[in-house]
Amino acid sequence: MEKLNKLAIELEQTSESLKLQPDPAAVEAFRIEWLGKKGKIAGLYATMKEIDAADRREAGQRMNRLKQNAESVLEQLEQLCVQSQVQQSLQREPLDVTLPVAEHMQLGSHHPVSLMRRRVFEIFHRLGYVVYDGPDIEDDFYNFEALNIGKDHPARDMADTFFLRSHEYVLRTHTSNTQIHGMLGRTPPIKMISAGRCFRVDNDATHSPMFHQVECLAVDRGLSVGHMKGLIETFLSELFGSRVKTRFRSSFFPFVEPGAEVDCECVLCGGAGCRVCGHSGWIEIGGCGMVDPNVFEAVQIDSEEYSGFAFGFGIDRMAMLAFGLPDLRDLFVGDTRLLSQFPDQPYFSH
Amino acid sequence: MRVSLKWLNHYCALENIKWEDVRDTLTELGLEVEGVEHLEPVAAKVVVAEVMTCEQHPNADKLRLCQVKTDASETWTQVVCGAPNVRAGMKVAFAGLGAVLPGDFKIKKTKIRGIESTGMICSQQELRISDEHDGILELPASAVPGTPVAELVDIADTVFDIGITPNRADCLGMIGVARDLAARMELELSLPAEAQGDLASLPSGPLVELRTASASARFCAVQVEGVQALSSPAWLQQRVLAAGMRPINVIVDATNFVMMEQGHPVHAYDAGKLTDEGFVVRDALEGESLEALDGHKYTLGRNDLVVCNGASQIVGSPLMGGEMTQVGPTTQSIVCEAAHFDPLVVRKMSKRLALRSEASHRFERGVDEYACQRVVKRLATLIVQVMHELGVHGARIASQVTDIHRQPKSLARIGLRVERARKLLHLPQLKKAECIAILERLGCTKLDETDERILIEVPSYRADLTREIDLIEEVGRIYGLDRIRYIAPQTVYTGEKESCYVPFVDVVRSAATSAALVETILVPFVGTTEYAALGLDSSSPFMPTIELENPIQAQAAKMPSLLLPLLLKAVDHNRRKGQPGARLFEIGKTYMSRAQLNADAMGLSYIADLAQGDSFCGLPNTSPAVRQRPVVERRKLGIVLDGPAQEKTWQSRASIDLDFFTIKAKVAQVLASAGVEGFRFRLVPEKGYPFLHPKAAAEILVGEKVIGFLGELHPQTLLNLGLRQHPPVVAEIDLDTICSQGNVGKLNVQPKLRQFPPLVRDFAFSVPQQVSYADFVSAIDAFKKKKNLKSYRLFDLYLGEGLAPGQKSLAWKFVFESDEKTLTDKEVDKESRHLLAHLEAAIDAKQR
Repeated sequence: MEKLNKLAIELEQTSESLKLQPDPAAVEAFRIEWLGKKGKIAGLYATMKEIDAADRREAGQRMNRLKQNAESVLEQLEQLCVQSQVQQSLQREPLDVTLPVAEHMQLGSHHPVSLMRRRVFEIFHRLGYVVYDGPDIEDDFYNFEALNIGKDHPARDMADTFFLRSHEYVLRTHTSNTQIHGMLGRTPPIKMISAGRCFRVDNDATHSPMFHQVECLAVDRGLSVGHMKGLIETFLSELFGSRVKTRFRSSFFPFVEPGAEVDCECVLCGGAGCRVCGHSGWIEIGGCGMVDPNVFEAVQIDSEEYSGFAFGFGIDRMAMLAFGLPDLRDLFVGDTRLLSQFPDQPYFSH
Repeated sequence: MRVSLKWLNHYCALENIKWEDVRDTLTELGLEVEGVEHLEPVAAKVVVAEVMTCEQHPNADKLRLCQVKTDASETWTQVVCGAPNVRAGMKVAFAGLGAVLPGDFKIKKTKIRGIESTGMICSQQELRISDEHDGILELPASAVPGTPVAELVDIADTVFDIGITPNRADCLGMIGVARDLAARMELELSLPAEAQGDLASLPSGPLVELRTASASARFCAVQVEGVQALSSPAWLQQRVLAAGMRPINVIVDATNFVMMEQGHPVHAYDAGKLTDEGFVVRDALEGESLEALDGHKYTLGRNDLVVCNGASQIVGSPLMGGEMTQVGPTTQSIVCEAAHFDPLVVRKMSKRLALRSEASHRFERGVDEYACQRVVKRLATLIVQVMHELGVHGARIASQVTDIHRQPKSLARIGLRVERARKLLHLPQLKKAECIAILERLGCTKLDETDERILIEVPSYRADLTREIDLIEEVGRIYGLDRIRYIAPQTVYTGEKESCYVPFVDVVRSAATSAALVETILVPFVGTTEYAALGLDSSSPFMPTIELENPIQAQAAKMPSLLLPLLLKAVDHNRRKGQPGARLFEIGKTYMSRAQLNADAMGLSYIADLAQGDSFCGLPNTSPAVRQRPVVERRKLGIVLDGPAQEKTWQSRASIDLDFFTIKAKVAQVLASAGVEGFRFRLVPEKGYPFLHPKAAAEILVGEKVIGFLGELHPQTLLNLGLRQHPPVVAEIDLDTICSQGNVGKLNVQPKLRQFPPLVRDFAFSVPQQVSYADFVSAIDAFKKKKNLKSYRLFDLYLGEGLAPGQKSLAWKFVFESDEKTLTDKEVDKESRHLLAHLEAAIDAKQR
């Protein structure tokens, strides 16, 4: 009994001193010393048989209490230990959080023309159009003849054509060849959109020998200039995120009639006139028109039964406008500083 | 074409219309105004002055010292003048102190040869009134000193630069432009008066004979006598200048004036240099030459057209007049010509001789053959009128007009269904009368009409109108396309499927960008030098064979058969710009000749597969003929990673170079995230890829098809390209092959969550060095007693000490897992023993 009392006092003293400076090693030592298989509490229980039978009950209760005390002390010490570790891990010099990290973890980036094309396709997908692709190298029929540009048509001068050595094939001068691919052997309704590279013998700040166009074609019964204007206006409003003013002015493309050029109010100055729109307040978007009966004839569609419209515009120019890029040719040399600025994220907004 | 508003005003009254409105109307009509130039009026502070005295400058022979009176007061101003024609009593244009003349020339008080001069007496050129600079401008005697010269001489003008589309030959003249404007703005069109007086009493005109083979030709000529090639009066010079040409002399200026007015080239021959054999229009003989007005000698061919004096003396051509009969100071009489030639013949001739002129441009587009006689009379009349204005009173038309022609094309007659116009233009309210009115304002004649149809005869100057749709366009154009109402788009579901190829390319693009690659688009022109640097020669199927006839640069005349040279050029660009470490990809195309691929694939299955493949698969219903065209056009993904992989940072001490596995990781990441299944790699064959490192490059396969290659570049290629420092690694993948294999767009989904915990065992093996990782994997996959082995992973590769010679050590982590129960160690140990035994038997792999 006396030993029990002594141990109770010792436990109290030990716990007090340990609580002052809790450290994991001391706490573990405490556990072994007191609650281990050969620890003090276990030793105490071993003396039970030496105790008088009459006192055993009380002694047992007191031993259990002492054990509980030791356990609760251990728990407290462990808690204190964790707390003190938490405190300790805060005891350090603050980091220079301004240091740069991982320059090599750069983001990928889309080409601005790709971004623009994706945006255009999104809009036309919602309007029920299907995307076609087409060849870059084209024969005379698809690039010219079927598009009402006969062998000696002066419009051949409009497109300074790259010829292959064989002369049988050309680099397509526009994406309008996809119209022919899209109509030949098919019955309307046809609603298609296509985008890709085109080539013309031209090379200055606003012309690259390679450039990109988007082509749209709709053929059905009863389509009119009204439908064409409605589609183009809807498309441009979607593209620029607000209702934009458009202007349709007559023009000439051999494969459409009536033919027109579409301008939209300059999205940068709102029509007031700025450097980007050449102080005219208008930005040229592209050409459009009703499919010429000669084109329908070339693809064996009856122009008395069906009508259609088509339009095409330069995506490069749209991308240049949207992102403020001055020189078209800069887009096609693979300059990483320029091109790494268009990460894969929601499209720019106006 | 440059169109002066002041000039245009002669044909339709535009004075009260703002120039901006004229500009916008022209543009809406399809006569796009591409530029506007404002010609300033005569500068402020330039006033009328009277020369009171005019004496010799005491210190200079060629200068005069004048006193001029510049206002009503009696004070005179002293001014030095160098002009030969200055004299006392003359009224002149005087630029006073502070005047700013064109060219930002400020008038200040100055001393000239020691004599003070306050102001300047101006020539026409100095005031931009005309090109005349030989003497000062003499103003009428009635002019009052002090009056601003701008009030007497009106040179302010607005000049539009109009882009004329190839269908509008008629608008290559002021009258054509005016006609369109008048039709749209409902103004009256007033044309220059027809020649006055009867020519019938005059001698017959010059002899003309048409000997050309072309079916279409016309030649009108008339003689004008008593002329002198003086300088033109200011008004004529102003017109010529506004049109963008230089005034030469009155005869040349008049021909230019008439051409610009009528849109019809005309010419004046010095009659004194012609014999009386007359004109012969004929096809040129091979090797004949034309000495043209521009001083050049052009060698002609059989398909060219010439105008001769007699049968042999070439004096002109549709493109340009001849030097011999050029009008000059000695000219006293001229022959005026207005002609029409076959547009196609002129076009070919102009192209072949690379000789483009205002005349050739108009003949190519097609002039109005019916107008020749009227136009030549207009020229003759104008020259006589201007001669009289210059005081040459003897000038007169001296002959009748000769008009020799082939059968002219008959005028087109076209029926127009008004209902069709309404429907196509979406103008439901359009009236028949409106259509007729519009077409008549454009010069058409209504021949007949029924309730819903109109029969129209098209004027000869509108050869572009041949079909009903052309008339509908004219109605829409003059009515104004801008006034047509919109119809909101309605979704018509066509039920058509998009080719798998279309979304796939987009998925690949996103996969590449999410693998931290930067997309580039490169101009696909290459030259043989780039290919030589890659170690390719004509025996290689990778040698480009698609060649341009007319490249921008002769050294980049071919279409690429690999994306590699384009990407390496981009690497070079970035290195030059101080931007190392480029990580670029391009989804581009390569172009190869099918015939050549079929002939020699060099045993490369990559090439053999390309030769058999379609050219593209993004089109519906494309005919086999198109798919099997002689040019194999394939969509490729090209990747280049430029070194170093990682530059030294504050965190990592050394910069790291790229190697085979860097590009392999990138390619695997892109393919996997693009949903491509089952791709694998094998060492490149010995021959075929001379640009790749033979020991550190691989072919990529899907199924049994080779879809591309990747790896390090051949050291010789790096040397050739100057890329040995931090060398780049490359890859190229044929997207069309992947697409046609159908290996995309399918997901391999494990539907259930893991039910029971996995058990893991690590083993290291010693295997002969020639056993590849792939061999090891095959051996594991062939483990027959497999029960619970779910996955495995190589986690260490060791070559070096502690191994028997010719051995290497591979350490693997095997994961065992059951769908039915929690596995016990005993079960897993048993399966592991079987696995070890199997691997030892299969590939001589001994556990270490």
